[in-house]
Amino acid sequence: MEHSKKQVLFRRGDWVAILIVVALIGALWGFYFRAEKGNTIEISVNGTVVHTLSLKQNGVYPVEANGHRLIVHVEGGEAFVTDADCPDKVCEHTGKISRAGASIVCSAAHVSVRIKGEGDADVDFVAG
Amino acid sequence: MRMSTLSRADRRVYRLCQNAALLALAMICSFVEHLVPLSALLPLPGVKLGLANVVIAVLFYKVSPVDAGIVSVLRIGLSALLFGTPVSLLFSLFGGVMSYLTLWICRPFFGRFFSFVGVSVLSATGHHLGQMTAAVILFDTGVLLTYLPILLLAGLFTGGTTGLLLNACSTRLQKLIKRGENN
Repeated sequence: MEHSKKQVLFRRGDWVAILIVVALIGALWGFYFRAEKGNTIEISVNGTVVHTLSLKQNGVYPVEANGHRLIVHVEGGEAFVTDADCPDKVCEHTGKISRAGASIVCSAAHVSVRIKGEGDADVDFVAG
Repeated sequence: MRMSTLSRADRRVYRLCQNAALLALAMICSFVEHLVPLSALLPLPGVKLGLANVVIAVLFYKVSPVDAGIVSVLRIGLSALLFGTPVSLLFSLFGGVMSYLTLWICRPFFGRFFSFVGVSVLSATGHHLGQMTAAVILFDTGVLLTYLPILLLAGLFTGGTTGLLLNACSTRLQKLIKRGENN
């Protein structure tokens, strides 16, 4: 068969390409897990911070912006979003965040929840 | 009639028609993905199979990198017009430009070092890095930390799948393109 002879076949180098990407993912995740636990969260609407809250205090904060609603929860040092009425639900699927620098973005409502690590030194920060 | 016997003007017409046909094929790929979104199965925004990339990659590696770039940009613009929003256009444009650059980077290695699987996996990664650049510009830098690894992991699978698909059908697609040159 003429075309099976010319067919492009899987090569060893393909594994190298896959390994490069796996290494990149590993590095990013490693970076993420080395980040300190945050202690405050900032809720921004349209890029400006509207609330700064402590992560140590549990609470439920409804946010309404640009015609969309969502509820930010703080529980046991983690923040997460529920009841978002945006169509894609990215913010809900992001899950629980607790590390400094991590954030949840709801693109439809232009709301972002971001964890800050500055302020009083917490145990994780001192340890490593 | 062979390609070499065509006049300069005929060759330009041939190239135009070929790119138009491949653009239509790439649009169909986008449309199929729009009809059967991968996000219904896997609720991750920004993740799709990238079937249009099958057409672009064959065009890039088997015909002309420049034509692949033109078709790619037109495909992104047209599918954003039909199925997308201005925000999704920005995301696909950043993704498209980055994956196109990745195709150039992979060019010296293609065929000898790796097949379409390597190309596809790396260009999916490039695509997601581009999308994340758009996300950082539009929203927040924090998304990089949380969402990028998830996107890249998904890209490994979607890129791998389209790569295997390319390995299987590139010869046929190439024959379809080249057939016109020989008669």
